[in-house]
Amino acid sequence: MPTMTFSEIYKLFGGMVYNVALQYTQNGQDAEEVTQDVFVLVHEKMNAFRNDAELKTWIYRIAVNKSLDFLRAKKAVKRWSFLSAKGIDEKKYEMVHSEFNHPGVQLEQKEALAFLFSCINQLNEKQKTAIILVRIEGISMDEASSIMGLSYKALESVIGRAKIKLQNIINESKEDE
Amino acid sequence: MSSKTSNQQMENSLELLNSIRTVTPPKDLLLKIERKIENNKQNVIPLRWVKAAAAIFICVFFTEVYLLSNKTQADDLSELIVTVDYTLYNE
Repeated sequence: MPTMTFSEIYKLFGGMVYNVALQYTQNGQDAEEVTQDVFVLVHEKMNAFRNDAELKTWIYRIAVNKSLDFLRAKKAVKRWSFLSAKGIDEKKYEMVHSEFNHPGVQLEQKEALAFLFSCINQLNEKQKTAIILVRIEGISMDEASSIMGLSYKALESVIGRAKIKLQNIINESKEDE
Repeated sequence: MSSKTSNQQMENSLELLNSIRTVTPPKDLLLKIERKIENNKQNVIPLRWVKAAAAIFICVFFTEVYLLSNKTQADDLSELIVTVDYTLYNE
């Protein structure tokens, strides 16, 4: 059982979870919702822990899973709305129309980052998570591989493939313009 | 060579991600979380009630199955009796 109280855990990891959620949702309100879900689950399960050393990895894992759950649910809602809106290219819609409202992004970088994130959003879940944890959150490869339940080599491979796919997506979008 | 160039281009694009700042969550977020935890506690049905309801349902279900199977056996028997009817007709 952790030696910290719930509010201490929140003070220590709240910012971390909120920022991870932001990288997935790119939207302040959505990130808040995800963060709430994460900490509700943390509160339910926190007594299962033997020591505080595992706590950070465990909370990161919940944050990643809850963020991915949120995105899946949102995608399902969007898919249904496309049934009534014929003739719209879903990919183009993802690239152009974005609820990009990332509070960590400076105004002068907003357009470039909105585009980059729209490309990252097209990666599969593993690749997206690897890029977010390692390249945006700056987590070490060892820690990221632990969070994702992958070996170091497997994570390297995932990041390598993610970069190649990202490059292809960027090149395709430039061709379309 | 071209793959190296492409890799470098990709790295340059990803460099942009370094400009993203860490954001402080809203001050009232902890309060919202605590409220959500409280709401969840009120909505949860105690596990023993769920177990009791499941046990009652299973009992009722198997009782019905037993009664139906007995009724079928009784019907078969009654049909047999009808076919083996020794009523004498007036000739």
